[in-house]
Amino acid sequence: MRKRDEKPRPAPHIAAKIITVGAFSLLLIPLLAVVIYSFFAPVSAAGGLVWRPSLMWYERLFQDQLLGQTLILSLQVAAMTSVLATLLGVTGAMALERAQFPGRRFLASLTVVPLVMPELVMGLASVIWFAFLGVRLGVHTIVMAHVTFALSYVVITVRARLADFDTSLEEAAADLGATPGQVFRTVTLPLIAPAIVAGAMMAFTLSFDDFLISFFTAGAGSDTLPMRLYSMIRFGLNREIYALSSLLIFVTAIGMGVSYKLRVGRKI
Amino acid sequence: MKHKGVGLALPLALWLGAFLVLPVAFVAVYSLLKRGAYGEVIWTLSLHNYARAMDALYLGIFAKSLMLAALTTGVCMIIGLPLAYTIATATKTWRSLLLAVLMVPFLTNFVVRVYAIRVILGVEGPINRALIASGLLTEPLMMTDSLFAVAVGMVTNYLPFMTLPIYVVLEAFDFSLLEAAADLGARGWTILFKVILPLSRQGLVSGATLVFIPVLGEYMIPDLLGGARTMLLGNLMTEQFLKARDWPFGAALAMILILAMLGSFAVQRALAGKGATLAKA
Amino acid sequence: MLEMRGIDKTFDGKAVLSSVSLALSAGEFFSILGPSGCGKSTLLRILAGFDHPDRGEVYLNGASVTKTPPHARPVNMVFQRYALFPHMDVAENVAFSLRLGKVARPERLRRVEEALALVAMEGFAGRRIDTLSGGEQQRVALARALINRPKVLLLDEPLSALDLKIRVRMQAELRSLQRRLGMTFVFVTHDQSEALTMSDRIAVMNRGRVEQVGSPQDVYERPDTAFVASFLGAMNRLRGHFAGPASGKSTHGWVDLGEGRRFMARLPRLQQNLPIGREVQVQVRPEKVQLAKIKELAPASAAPNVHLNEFTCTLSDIFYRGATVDISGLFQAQTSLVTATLLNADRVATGLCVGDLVKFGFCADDAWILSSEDSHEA
Repeated sequence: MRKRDEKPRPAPHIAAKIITVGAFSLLLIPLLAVVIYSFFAPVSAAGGLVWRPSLMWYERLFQDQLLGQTLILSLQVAAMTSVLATLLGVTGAMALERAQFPGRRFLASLTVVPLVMPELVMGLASVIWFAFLGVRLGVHTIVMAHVTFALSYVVITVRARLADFDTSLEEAAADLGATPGQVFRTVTLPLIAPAIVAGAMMAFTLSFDDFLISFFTAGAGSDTLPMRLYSMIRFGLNREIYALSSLLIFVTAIGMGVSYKLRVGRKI
Repeated sequence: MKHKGVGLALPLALWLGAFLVLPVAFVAVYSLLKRGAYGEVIWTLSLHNYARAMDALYLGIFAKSLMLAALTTGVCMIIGLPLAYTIATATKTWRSLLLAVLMVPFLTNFVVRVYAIRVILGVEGPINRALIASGLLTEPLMMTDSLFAVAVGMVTNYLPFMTLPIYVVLEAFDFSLLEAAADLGARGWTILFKVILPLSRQGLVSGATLVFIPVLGEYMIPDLLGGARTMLLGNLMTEQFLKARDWPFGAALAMILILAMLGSFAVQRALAGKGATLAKA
Repeated sequence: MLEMRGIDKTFDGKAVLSSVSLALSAGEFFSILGPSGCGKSTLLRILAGFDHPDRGEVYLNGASVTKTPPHARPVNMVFQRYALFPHMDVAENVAFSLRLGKVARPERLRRVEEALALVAMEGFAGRRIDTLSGGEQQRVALARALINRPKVLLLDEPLSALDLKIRVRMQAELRSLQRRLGMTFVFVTHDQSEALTMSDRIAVMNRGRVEQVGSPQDVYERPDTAFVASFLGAMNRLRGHFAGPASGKSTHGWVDLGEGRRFMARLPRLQQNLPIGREVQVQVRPEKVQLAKIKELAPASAAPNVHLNEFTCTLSDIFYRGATVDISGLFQAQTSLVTATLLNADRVATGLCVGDLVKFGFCADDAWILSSEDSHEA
C-alpha cells in the first residue's frame, strides 16, 4: 500500500557477499542432500553395495501405513490448532488493539511469552499441569499445548495489521451508516483478512513442525509425524524419511507459491 | 466506553491463564517437591532439588550449555550481520528472492533438517567423500557425535532467527548515513564499528534473544548430533522427565532455564536502551 | 439548523474545547479556521459523532443528536486523507452507504453515476483506488459522502494533501457544488486564504475557544481580538499608548506614538474600556497603507469625515512579489517597520529606491487599536 521511493543502496563489501554465499550454502546444502539422497538406493554388486538411482524409498513410503497414520494425525492436529488459535488470536488481537480494559498491557505482554519461551519449558509445564488436573494425555492435550504457543503468532500478525491500517476507514464506514457489526464485516474484516490467513497458516505450520511439545504432551498411541520421524531416525536409518521430506518440501513450496500469488493478486 | 471490548479479550485471557500462567506456576511448585520411589510426586516442600542442581556434574552441564549458547549466538551474529546487510542492500526483486531463500529450510520438518546435517557431516557424507577423493585425507573424519556437530546444527538452524531482526532494522536504515560517514573521512572498519553496528544494535539484540534462549533449551539438535557423550541442559531436563521420571528435579531445572531467560531479557532491555543512547552519541 | 451549545471536551485532563457555541443556518458554507491543535478537528468529530462532548449539546434541526452514534446521523464527512476503502473500486466506494441501506441494484447504479457526474468523475466507476491521483481520490470521497444527500457535509481539511494548482481548482469546485446543492458545508481548515475565499461565514478558533464568528470581511477587516487579526493575513503593528477616545466618536480612539505623533483608529467591540496610558498597538493591514513620494496622498483619503494618519519615513526595503510590491519604511526612531502593499501597476510604486523619504498614510477606519497585553500570541 505504501509506496516508497528508493534510493540506490551501497553495494556490500566483497567479504559480506562471500559470507552470504556461504550462509546460503549452509542453509540449502542439507536440504539439497536430502532430496538427492532420496532418489538413490543401494544395489548389491561385485565388491559390495553400490548406490543407484531408484524410486525404492518412495515405493516404501507409500506402503508405510504407520507413517501415513501419523501424517494424518499431524494434519488433523495442525488443522485444529490453526482454527482454535486463529479464533482466539483474532478476537484477542481486536481486543488488544481496539478495546480499553484494565490489564490490557499485561495481557499483551503475556501473549508474547510463548514466542520466547523454550518449547521444552512449554512442553514440560503442560505435562505437569495436565498430570495435576488428571487429564489423560492424547490428541486433545497436544492441540491445547500447540494452540497456546501458535496463538502468539496469530495475535502478533493480526495486531500489526490492525495497528497499520487507518482507523478513519472504520470511521468513514460508520459515518456512511454502517452499524458497528457492519463496519467489522464490510471494512475491518476484509482489510485484516490477509493477516488472518497468514496467522492461520503460521499456526498450522508451527503445529505441523513441532516435535518437542508433542513429545511431552502426546499420550501413548498419538504419535505425530515428527515424533514418528524421530523414532525412525533413532532406531535405525531409514531413507524413507528422505523421500517423505522431499515430498513435503515440494508440497509446501507449491502451497507457499500459491498463497504468494493469491496475496499479490489481491494486492492488499 | 472505557471498558468496551472486555468480552473480546476474555477468551484469550482465559486460555492463556489456563494453559500458560497456571502450568508455569505449577513448574515452580513442582520444583519444590520430591520424587517418590516409583516416580510419583511427594508433596513436601523443600529446596533440595535446587541444592542437587548445584552438584559439579550439573554445574558442568550448565556451563557447557551456556558456552554453546553464547558461541552459537556469536557465530550467528558474525554471519547474520553481513548476510542481512547484503540482503538489505540488494535491489527490490533480489531482496524478496533472498528472503524467500532464507525461509527455504522451513519447508521441511525440523527433525529432518537436523538429521540432514548429520548425514552431511557423517563418515559416508559428501564432505568426507570429497576430502578422501581429493586425496587430502585417507581416513574419514569423525565429525558427528561431537560438540562441533551440535554447534554446526545450532548455527544452521538458528541463523534465520538472527538474520531477520537485523534485516528488519537495516531495511529501514538510512543508507545516506554511510555516504555521510564516508564523506567525513570514515573508512571500512570505522564505518562498520561506528555506524553500522550501533545502528543495527536493536536487531542484533533481539536476534540474540531469539537465538540464545532457544539454544539453551534445545533438545533435538544435541540429541541427534551430539551423541551419548554430549549432555546439555535440554537433554538433561528431558531425560529427568521422561526417563528418570524425576519430575520435581526436572521442574527445578526448568525453573533455572526460566530464570536464565528472564536474565537475558533484562540484559536485552539494558543493551537495547544503551544502543539507543549510543546511536545518538 | 445545526447548533452547538456550550461544548466542553478534555483529553487526558487537557481542555481541547471550552464552551464552544455555534449556530449554522441551512445552505451555509461555514468554515472553522484555526492553527493546528486549536480544537477544530475535535469539534468536527463531535459533529460527526466519533467523539462525544463532556458537556454541551449538538442540535440538528432542533433535535439533540449529542448521543446519536455516527451511523445514525444524517451527516457525512470527507476525511483529510479521504479514507477510501482500498479493497473496493470507485463505484463500490461510492455505493457503500446504498448497499447498507439495501437500495436495489438498478437504483444504486443510477445514483452512483449521478454522484460521480456531480464531481466530474464519470467513467471512473471501475477504477481501483490506488490507481487514482490525490485530486481524483478527493472527488470520489466527495461523491461517496454526497450520495445520500446528507443534511450537513463535514469536510476535514480536505484540500490540505493536494498540490497548489489542484487545490485552487478544487476550492472553486467545492464552492460551486455547495451552491448548486444548497447543502450546509462545515469546512475545517488551517489555511486562512482558503477560508476567506470559500466561506459564507468563518469561525476563528484558538486554544479550544471560538474567538470570532463572522463573514470573511468581518474577520479580516474588523477582527475582535489580536489573535484573529494576526492569524488572518499580514499586519503592521505600531506601538504606542492609549490617549483616550476620539471626541464625539466612541467607536474611535487616539494613540500616542511618541515624537509628537498621534494616530486615530477604530476601537473594536472588546477594547472599549481601555484606560488612558495603557500600552496599545495600532494595527493596519499593509494593503490599506498608502504612500506618496513627496507631496499629497491619494485623493480617496481626501473624502470628508475621514481622518487620515500621516507620517514620513525612510524606505528600508522593497520586496517585489509579482502582482504586488511590498514597501517597508522605518520610523519611530528606526524602531518600527511599516509595510505598504501596493499593486505592481501603481504608478507610485515604480521609481522608488531604498533610502527615499516617503510619506505613508492610512485611514482611521482601516486601522484598529488593540491592547498590547493580549497581542502576544500567534
